[in-house]
Amino acid sequence: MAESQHNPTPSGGEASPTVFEDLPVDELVHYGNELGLHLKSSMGREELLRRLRERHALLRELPREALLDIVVWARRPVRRSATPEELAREIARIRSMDIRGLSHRGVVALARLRGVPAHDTEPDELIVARMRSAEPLSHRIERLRRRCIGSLVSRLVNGGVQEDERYRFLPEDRETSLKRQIAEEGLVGGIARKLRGAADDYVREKLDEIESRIDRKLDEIDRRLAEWRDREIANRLRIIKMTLAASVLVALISLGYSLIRPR
Amino acid sequence: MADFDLFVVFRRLLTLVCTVYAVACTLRSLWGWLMYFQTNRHTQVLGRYATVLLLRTRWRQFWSEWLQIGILTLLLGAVVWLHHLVEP
Repeated sequence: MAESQHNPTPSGGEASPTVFEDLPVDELVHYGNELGLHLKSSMGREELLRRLRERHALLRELPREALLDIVVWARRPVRRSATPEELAREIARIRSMDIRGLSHRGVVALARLRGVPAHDTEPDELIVARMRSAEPLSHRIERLRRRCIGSLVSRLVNGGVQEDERYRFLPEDRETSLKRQIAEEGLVGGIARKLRGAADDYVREKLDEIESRIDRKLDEIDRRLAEWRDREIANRLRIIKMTLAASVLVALISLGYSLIRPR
Repeated sequence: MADFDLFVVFRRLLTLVCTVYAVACTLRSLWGWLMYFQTNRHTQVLGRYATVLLLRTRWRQFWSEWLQIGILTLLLGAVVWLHHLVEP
């Protein structure tokens, strides 16, 4: 059970360093990218582990309230009891630079999670300017494109009316106490249900973990097959090109022969 | 018999043989893959996946190759056309 609580997969909870250090390189890259790092397989295992350790240290350092401020500001669906790692995963998916409505501690935490240096004493404008300059051009273009599409679609769907519903956290999982279960179902029934529930949770977490690993492997196979396909197409096109070049050459020789031969 | 040119006959024969050979090879290969993908349920799934994989190809990433092929084809057409000018 202890291991399932330190599950590095998206379905699981917080990953302990002892668990993620055993992961293969591709899983480390995936895990790090989920936490908002920009990792590549070519970085090498030691570098990947170093960055992941730094990210864990940062998550321990950042106040939980600041992370909650960010998810509430971005209206991400999370539980109030979500772990810092779960919050970091949600925050990593946020691309917005419009910090209106975000608290100062949230701005500082967001910047630091995006790899931009920020301090509590600095004004929001300065931190945002730093975040904007650190943002890759492709992200900026993508954000602009999404904003345009969002504006267009919301105008079509809502008729330009702004939705402003108060943010609500996801409901928590209700844990029924053993005392209450025994009171309801008797001693043996209550204990059996409690044990079964714990076993079910464990199996569910494990199955989720296995499923997500299989999904990732399938994605990897798909990616490699696509690369192989592209390579094959490029080779075929190169052969066509060489054939055409040879044909042109022979045609030119033939033309030259036609020009110089006696009539 | 006076305008008989052995090279012209050879050229046309070669064109015919090459074209027929290329078409036959292509059709035989396609037919072979089609038959293989209908062998059983697993190969049917494989066939559908291969089709999806082909449909997902981003052809624009080979734009430079396409451009070169286009230029070479045009060049070949121009040279062949020049043959007709030289030998009316």
